[in-house]
Amino acid sequence: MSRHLERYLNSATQGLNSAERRELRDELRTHILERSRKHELEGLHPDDAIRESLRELGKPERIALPIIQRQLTRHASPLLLGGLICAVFGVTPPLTMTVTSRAPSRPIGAVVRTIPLATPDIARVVRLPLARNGAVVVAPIPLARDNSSKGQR
Amino acid sequence: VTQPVDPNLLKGNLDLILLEILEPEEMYGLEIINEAQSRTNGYFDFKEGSLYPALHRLENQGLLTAQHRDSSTGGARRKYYRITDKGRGVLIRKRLEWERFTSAMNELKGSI
Repeated sequence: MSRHLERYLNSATQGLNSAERRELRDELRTHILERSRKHELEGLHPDDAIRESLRELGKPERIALPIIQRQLTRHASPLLLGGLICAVFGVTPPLTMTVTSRAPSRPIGAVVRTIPLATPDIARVVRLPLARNGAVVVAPIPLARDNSSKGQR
Repeated sequence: VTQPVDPNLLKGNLDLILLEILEPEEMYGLEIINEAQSRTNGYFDFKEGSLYPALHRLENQGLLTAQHRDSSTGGARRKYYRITDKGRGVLIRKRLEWERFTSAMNELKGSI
């Protein structure tokens, strides 16, 4: 069962940088073990107590994805300034980006298309095997354009 | 038995709820969940997994600050969250928003 717990912690913290990952893993592990002790006192077998605690905590990607999305949004600005996204999509700036997965629950946004990105931080996020097929999709969302950008496409 | 709260209502007001719970004293994750349930007689029963990204976001925004400490009862180290001055400012604003919203709803109800 401890292997089950470690697998959960891996999924719930995947894609975070090592310091953040270690911190969140410790925090979640403390939470799960403390919850499990309570379930054991209520009469559950230790394995079932862990299983119940994980069920209460919910799907691990629900923990990881909002944090990654926030990081990706933060890292997206320099990329956009560099024009890389414009070149890939042929879209007139300004843009913002969001990330979503092809997980069955589709927790964030809609899938638009996948793109390869070279920047290390983004690439690390894009490679996340959060979705069943291992794909995380980055989607461009055009913001309101000014007049000077109209008619360029 | 009280009917559980609509999850969307809870999700939409999660920041206000967390800041409200942490306003009097610092707490760690599980303690926050237990506090939310006990202070509302089980009505606020939010998805536990949604708590941690929200706490980390509020910490990143400077509304909360966190400190790792050993538990007072022994056992594992815990991450305690405490509201900051900036967080208190946001809490006051969000309380006002909520009061305006509920009073507007009451006006609607009274006007029927």
